[in-house]
This record gives sequence, structure tokens and C-alpha cells, in this order.
Amino acid sequence: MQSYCVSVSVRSVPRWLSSRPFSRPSTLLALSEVNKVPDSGFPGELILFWRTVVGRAYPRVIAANREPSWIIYEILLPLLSTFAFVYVYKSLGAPEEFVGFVVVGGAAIAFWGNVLWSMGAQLYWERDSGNLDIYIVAPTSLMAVLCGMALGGLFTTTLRAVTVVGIASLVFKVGYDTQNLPQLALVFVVGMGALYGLGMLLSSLYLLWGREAWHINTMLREPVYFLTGFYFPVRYLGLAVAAVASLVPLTLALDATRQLLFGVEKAGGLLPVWQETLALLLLCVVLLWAAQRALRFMENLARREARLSARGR
Amino acid sequence: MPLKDELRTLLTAAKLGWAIESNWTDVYLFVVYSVARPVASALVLVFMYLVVAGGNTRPEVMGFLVVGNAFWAFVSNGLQGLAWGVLDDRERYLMLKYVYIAPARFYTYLLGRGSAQLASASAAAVITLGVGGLFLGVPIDLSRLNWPLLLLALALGYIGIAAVGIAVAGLSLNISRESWGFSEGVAGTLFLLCGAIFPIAVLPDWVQPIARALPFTYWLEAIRRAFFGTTQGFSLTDLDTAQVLLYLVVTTVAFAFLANLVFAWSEHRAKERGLIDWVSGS
Repeated sequence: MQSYCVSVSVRSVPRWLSSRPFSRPSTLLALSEVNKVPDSGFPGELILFWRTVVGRAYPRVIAANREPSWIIYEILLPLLSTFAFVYVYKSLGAPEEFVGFVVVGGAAIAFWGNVLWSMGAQLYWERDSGNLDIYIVAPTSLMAVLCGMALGGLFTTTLRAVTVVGIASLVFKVGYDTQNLPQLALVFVVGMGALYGLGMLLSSLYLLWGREAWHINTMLREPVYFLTGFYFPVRYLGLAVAAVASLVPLTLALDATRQLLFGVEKAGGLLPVWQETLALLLLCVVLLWAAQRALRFMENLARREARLSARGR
Repeated sequence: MPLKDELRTLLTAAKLGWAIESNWTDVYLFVVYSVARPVASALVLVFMYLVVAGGNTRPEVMGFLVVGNAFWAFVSNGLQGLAWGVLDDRERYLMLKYVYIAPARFYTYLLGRGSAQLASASAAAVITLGVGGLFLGVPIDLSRLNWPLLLLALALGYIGIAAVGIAVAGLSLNISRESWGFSEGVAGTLFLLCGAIFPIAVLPDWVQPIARALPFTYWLEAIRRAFFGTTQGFSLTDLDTAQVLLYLVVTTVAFAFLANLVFAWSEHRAKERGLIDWVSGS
């Protein structure tokens, strides 16, 4: 769906990524340019990793905005569903804070959509458009490519989520408690780290999948909206279900965010915020580690089964 | 083109659509896939209601939510099937140009290609209603169902869905492959406006006339009355059932007419600009 990397033009590649003119318009060339690191070994590899991250994040931030369809997918759709669910609560006569719960859930839709389609399924799109094999032969780590995708996606999606929250809050006059902003920032950072770690893990699985990738992504929407409590406090699902749902980092991130923005009493949190923050931190570390391992394993498996360049499956 | 040929095109395209929709996995995963989304959507609504109502739930509210959600799958799947059919055939399988020059009517092909999604939606609706009736306390009594009203509403609803779907498919001929979300955007807008999961009375005053101009508003109202009785109103409390049906017919005909105009314009534009064999990705 969103293989933006191929639409970046020669002019858009920043000068610092390259010291020679490009012969064809592709960010992939920008990735190959990152090999121009003077030394191998610890500092050289770190610089290479970082330059790959920035090189892959660049088209996410710049080129994505040249294709206006993201307005539909990342702003209009979350806004429409947010509005619809706000009206459900209004028709049921729910307390005002529930409108705020839905608005925050609407922002989470943008992040979940980005993780599913632009992280999880991205390597599938790249393979379908013939880019994955070029990624693989690029003299850099695939993990760095994924980190770049995550960083760029996180940046743009945050802007879009803020837009969704801003518009919906203005329309429905939602008020927030702004006394806990530092804590909120911490929850956001660890929550997004864990969420995009999950995205990287999914993308390694999608290396093996063909059309299933598309359908699995579609299937992971509404069930996740339900289990993670996008539109209602997750504790109403019961501790056991909520504990399982917490494997998706959005569950705890949303719960903690609601507690910080609307107050512990109104939000009816699952756990105290500090415990949820710690759990998110743990998830972040575990998921990133698992993603790295899974990526290596799946890449090798895909090589053996010759799936890296199998297009149109 | 003779009717027999049209039917053959429709059936062949429907078989093709069904094969593409279903042959990516085994039967078990396909069933899970078909059912998981609508049932989860229904559960989201049910839990929202349970959280607000506490122990004081009312079966009619539960019925309103579950029936609206179950039948909305026809609209979302129908639009998606038609629009994604165009994008898939053009961008992924690179077949649209061959289909277009084949001796079959393109319009009929698209309708058939997209209808496979309606089959999935039917299964999803039945299962969602079953779950609602068996586990969520939705008062569905098959012996008291108003079958003639339900079948008439379904038939008219299919025409309305096909009409909007064909317009969206036509417009999709003119947009790049990055716009997969286009059909979802249209479906999401209709979802918000036609009171699929809430009565349209809660919408702002200036939005309500728009909601009343949509066939799906009357379609869902007719279906709810078929399930829960014609004596009560749900979203349109000021109309009796005959009026609901009349407005459903009028708005459906108007939408079908407009949709055909949009499709003809879109097809002409796509041909004029050479977009039938466009590969807008890499």
C-alpha cells in the first residue's frame, strides 16, 4: 500500500547522503551511498547504521507527503470512525469523559494503521514492487532499514494523530488534564518504542507471506480495536483478557494515557501508570530484541525458500 | 449485448472475484478472517454500551447496535470489492487492460468481480447476528421476522451498494494505487452519516438532511423494522414503514442514476488520459 521509497526523486535525496550524482531516482541508491563510511568496526558500523536510519526515514517524512492519499488513510479515516463512536456514546448518554476516551483511541488508530501497513507489510510491498532484493544486497543492515522506516513513520503519524486529536477535541470540546505532561511524554516514548518494535517483528514475519499479508493486516484491525480498548477502558474486559491484550503495546499505552489525561478515577485504569510504563519499557526491549532475532531468522529462511524476490504471490 | 452474455460475464467475474478473495489461504483461516472483523466490531459496540449502561442494558439498544453493524458489512465490503477490484487488476495483476478489451461489458465485469465481497459480507452478517442472538441478548426471533420487508430491503440495498460501488470503482480508475483507502473513506463517511450504529437524531442539525438523502439510512431503518417490528421507529421515528420504503426506493433510484453518470464520466476520463493500463506504483 505505501511503498513510498520508490517515489522519491533524485533532487529530494539530500546532498550529505551522497557525494556523486545519482543516475536513477531511488532512495535505494541513497541507502547504497551509506556504505561510504571510512572505517569498519564499532564507530564505523554505528555511523553506517545511523545513516541508514536517516536515509530510510527521509522518504517517509518527505516523499510520503507528496502523495496526498495519506490524508484519507491517516487523518480522514481515524476522524470518521472517531466521530461515529463519539456519536454512539452521545446517543447512549455516556459521561463526557468517554468522548475523550474515543478521541484518544482515534489517535491510536493512526498509529496502529501505520504500524500494520507501513511497518508490518512494508517488506511485502517492497518485494511486490521489486525493491526487496535491492534492500538485501545494499551494504547495510536490514534492521537499520526497519528502524528508519519506524522513525519516519512515527514522526509523520505523530503529526497526523495530533491533527486527529486536535480536530476532534475542538469539535467535541474535549478538555484534558495537562499537569502530567512529562509522564505523558515518557509513556508516549516507551509505548511507541514497543509498538514499532512489534511492527518490526511483524515485518519479519511478512517476509515469508504473500497475499496473506494483506488479509492478515485487515484482520488485525477490528479485533485489536476491541481487545486493546480503543473505545472503552480495557479493564472492562477483565484482567485475564486485558493481560493478553497487553501484548499489543497500545493497550497499556492507551490506558496510561487516559489515566494521565482524564484522571485515574475517571479513566478507570487497569494498573497504576508507573507499572504500565515499566511494562511498556519491558515490552519495548523484548520486542526490539525479538524483532532483530526474527528478522535474521526469517531472512535466512526466505533466502533458502527463494521468497525474497517472488513477486505477485 | 444480449442478457445471456451479460449474465455469463457477471457469473464469470463473480467466480474470478471469489477465487481471488478466498484462495490465498486454507478454508479455516478464511472463515476466521471473514468472521473476526464483523464480530469484533459488534463486540466493540456492545462493550461500549455495557460500560455505559452497567447492569441496566436494554435488548432493543443491543439489537440496534448489532443489526446495524452486521448489515453495514454489506456496504463496506461491497464498496471495497468494487474499488479494490479495479486497483488489484490494474496494479497487481496487470490484467485490467486485457479485461477492458475483452468482448464483455466492463461495467458488468466490475459488478461481478466485486460481488464476491458481498458473499463474504453475507456470511459475516449471519454469524454476527447469530452471536448477537445467542450470546449478547439481541432479541432476534426468526418466526417473528418480517421476511417480505427484509428481502425487499435487502434487494433495494444491494442496488444502492452496487450503485455507490460502481461510482467508486469508476473514480478508482483515475486515482493512483496509493489510494487504497479511498473506498474506505467513502464507506466511513456513509457510516457516519447514515446512522449505522447510532440514531441520526444525535447528528448536528445541519447534517441530518444529508443523512436523510442517503439510501442507506432508509435501508438500515427498514432492516431494523423487519427484525424488531414495524410499529417502532429507530433512526427515523417520524416515518412509518411504508414511507421508509418509499424513500428507500426514491433515493436508491436517484443514487443509481447519479452513479452511472459518475462511472461513465470516470471511464471516459480514464480512457482519454490513458489510465486504463496505468501502473502508478514503482
